[in-house]
Amino acid sequence: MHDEPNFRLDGIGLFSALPSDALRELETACRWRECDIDDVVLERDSDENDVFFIVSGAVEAVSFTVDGDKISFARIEAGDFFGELSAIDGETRSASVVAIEASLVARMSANRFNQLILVHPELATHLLRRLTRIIRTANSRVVELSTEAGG
Amino acid sequence: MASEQDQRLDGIRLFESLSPDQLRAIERQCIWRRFGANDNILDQDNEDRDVYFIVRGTVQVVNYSVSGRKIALARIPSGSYFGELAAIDAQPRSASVVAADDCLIATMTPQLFNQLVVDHPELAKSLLLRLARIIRACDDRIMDLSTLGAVQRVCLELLQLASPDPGGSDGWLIWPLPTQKEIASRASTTRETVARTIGQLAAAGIVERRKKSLYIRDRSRLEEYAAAVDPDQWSGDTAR
Repeated sequence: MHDEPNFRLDGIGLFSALPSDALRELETACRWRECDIDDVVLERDSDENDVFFIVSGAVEAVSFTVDGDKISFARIEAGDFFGELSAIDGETRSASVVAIEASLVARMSANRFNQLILVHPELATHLLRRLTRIIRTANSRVVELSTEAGG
Repeated sequence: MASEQDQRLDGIRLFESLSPDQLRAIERQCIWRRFGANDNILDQDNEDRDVYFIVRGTVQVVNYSVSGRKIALARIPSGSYFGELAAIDAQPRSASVVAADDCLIATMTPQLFNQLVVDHPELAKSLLLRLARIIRACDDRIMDLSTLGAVQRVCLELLQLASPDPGGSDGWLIWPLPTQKEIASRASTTRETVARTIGQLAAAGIVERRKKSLYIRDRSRLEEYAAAVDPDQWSGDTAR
């Protein structure tokens, strides 16, 4: 199966509340890239702050040890996105991202992303819930590790 | 009870973009309470999903491990707030909060808080920025704690490699000292962690490097480090 790329953001969960004309406008504001397996989508420590939307395929957030071994953090599937932390706080990337399938990725500038949040409060609410979920997972991990360390 | 003129949200940074009229309207919808040092402000098992604004005083966020050990997560000063996670996702509290000194606290229902976020996008942005910072701080702490085990293993390796000083002193030494890469491989960690650990031990006067030898100057402290009862022994500034 090899379809022509479909440069549409309709499948992105974050945008489910947006009307279609707003989506069409966003699609033209994005830069689009078709990635092959193992392509680096995002380089750790790179200094852009774009947000990346996975339209099809799947990617993985990874880090590399000194020996060059790959450590995988998270798999990000079609319909999802990544890179929002840097767009929000302007800090550098904490991990690299590589494609683990042939993927179609739409890339939006931090400015556009932040402007979008201001105009559409429901996006802000969606993002707040997402970050809250990430914090809860991280907090449990901290407690778990602290407990292990404490014996 | 708090006096009327105390009940002001002007010092809360989240609200700095709001007008005085908007603040006065919000203040009237808050519940105001005072707490003394060590009073429980919020218990982990509380059913409410309110947001708590610290108008005066400082609070301590704490968590308890399965074994009942108290884990300090953060100190929050006046002008800031807590409890926003439960207001956002309606899930149970992840921690308890205790007053560190005399506190004046304003609480707000999750309905009001979420409405303010929708009505004032700049509040949403400020909140997003805060959550992003919390996530990064958590990630740093997880990284510290994850490498802690490796540091312990390096200390353990050093203890196992050490033998009594044949020179007659009652000290211990490792001779010849294996390369950092060899020690890393024995302790299943990276060369960088070995270098960092030996550096920290040397700075603390526990070991001393001399040519091809590593002198163990304080074997009992090295044993303590290998047991690492207290993770803060390794990183004093990471508690949030």
